[in-house]
Amino acid sequence: MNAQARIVGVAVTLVAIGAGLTGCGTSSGGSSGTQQKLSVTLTDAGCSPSHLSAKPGSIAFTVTNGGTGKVSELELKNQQGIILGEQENVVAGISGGFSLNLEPGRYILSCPNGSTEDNGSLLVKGEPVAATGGAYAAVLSEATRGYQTYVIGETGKRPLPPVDAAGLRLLRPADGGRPRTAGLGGLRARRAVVNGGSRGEQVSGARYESA
Amino acid sequence: MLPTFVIGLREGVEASLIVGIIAAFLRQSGRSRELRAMWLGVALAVMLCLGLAIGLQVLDRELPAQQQEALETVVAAIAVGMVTFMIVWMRGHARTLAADLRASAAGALLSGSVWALVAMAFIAVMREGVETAVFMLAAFQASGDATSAGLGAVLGILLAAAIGWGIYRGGVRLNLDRFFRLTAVVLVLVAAGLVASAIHTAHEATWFNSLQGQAVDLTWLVRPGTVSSSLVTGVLGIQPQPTVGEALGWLLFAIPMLVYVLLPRQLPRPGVRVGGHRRPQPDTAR
Repeated sequence: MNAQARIVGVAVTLVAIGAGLTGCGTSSGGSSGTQQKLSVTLTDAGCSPSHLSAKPGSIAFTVTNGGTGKVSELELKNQQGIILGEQENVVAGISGGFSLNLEPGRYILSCPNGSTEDNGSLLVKGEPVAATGGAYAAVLSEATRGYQTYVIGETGKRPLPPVDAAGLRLLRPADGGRPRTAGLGGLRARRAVVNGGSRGEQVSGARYESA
Repeated sequence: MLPTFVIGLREGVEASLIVGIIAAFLRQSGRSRELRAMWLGVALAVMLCLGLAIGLQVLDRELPAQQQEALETVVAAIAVGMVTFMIVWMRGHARTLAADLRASAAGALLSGSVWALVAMAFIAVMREGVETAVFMLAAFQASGDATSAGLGAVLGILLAAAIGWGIYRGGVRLNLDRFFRLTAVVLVLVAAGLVASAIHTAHEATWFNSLQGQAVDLTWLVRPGTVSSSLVTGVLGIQPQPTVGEALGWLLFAIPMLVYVLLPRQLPRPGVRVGGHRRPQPDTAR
């Protein structure tokens, strides 16, 4: 393999890694509605303010430089000292930040090289946020609801089976077979509709009962 | 302008140091083909980092800090291996180093490793490059005097590139036979710095969480925010307030390696010729 081919090979590998990095990067804009915002200014002393409090859930940290040349970094650590989020290289005029989902507890706010306030604290108090699968569950049930509306519209006024906890239709065949979710059944119903509409109520020989 | 200059210089030196060392080594070995490939790779890496930084900005995404630090740790660990390999190989050929580097026998020994060195230069730029490019873009969009901030960052990076070039040119003209020990000591210090740096970024990547108490306060040596601190941290890997883990890593690497490099190759033993003088045997009858 000649020099150029090797270089291109390595470059392609690293573009792939880079694309992965970009893909893994969290979105800094457009978060779900109830994100709290906390702001920390770096001074010669360290973090200002050095003691913060918040409610559990999604928190967006903004770090700005208050005119110090010594302190340029903010780290948020848990009690075991593991860094959960950090922003480096915050110098005059440049601000940055990161967002985290935090459970109730006490966290350490660290501004390295600060003289007095280099280790502050963040207290998160309140009801823990229930794990609902985050943004995806909301989007998924929204999409499923919309699709159900479409299927009802296409297949006439056949009532649909009930919804389970995740917002997905549980379809139980009349012969007592394995329940299937609406995604698959819905697709087959659509194909039946496309094929002539007369078999819209029956998919693959199974009959669906409503609750 | 100074704060962004300091950061640009520090991040740039961490990359240009490795590139300069590799370039000098390749040139001294007479590997001009691989040297050209290395420069091409470095240029490609710089453009890739800029592209990634712009892409991150356009897509409005944060740089994933943990993954970035993980990459820096892995690359620093590989760099330690590479520099250690260089030091050991150099010591094995101490007296005839310059000739051996060009000799076909030595060339055959190194041929597999030479392409690894080219790849290492590429990766060394990627290691700091994406973070530096993101920082540079942020500097050009700073509140207040953005032009001055951005210019400071660019000047810092340019000075770092100049230092790397200086290491390359100086390393090429270096008489390795005569200055082997000096070169080897400098390389040991660089590698020890990489060890400490890898331990530092391993903590930031959440891989290494023990021994995190402060070992010693070196803010008198590494004054944060000054140009000298960016050179000390960039070249020697010394942080202003190193943790116990970082200090231990630095010492545990540097001390044995320095002993290895500075000890003469053959310790004088009774009856062994050293430099042409025969030492008297203790039990020889006179």
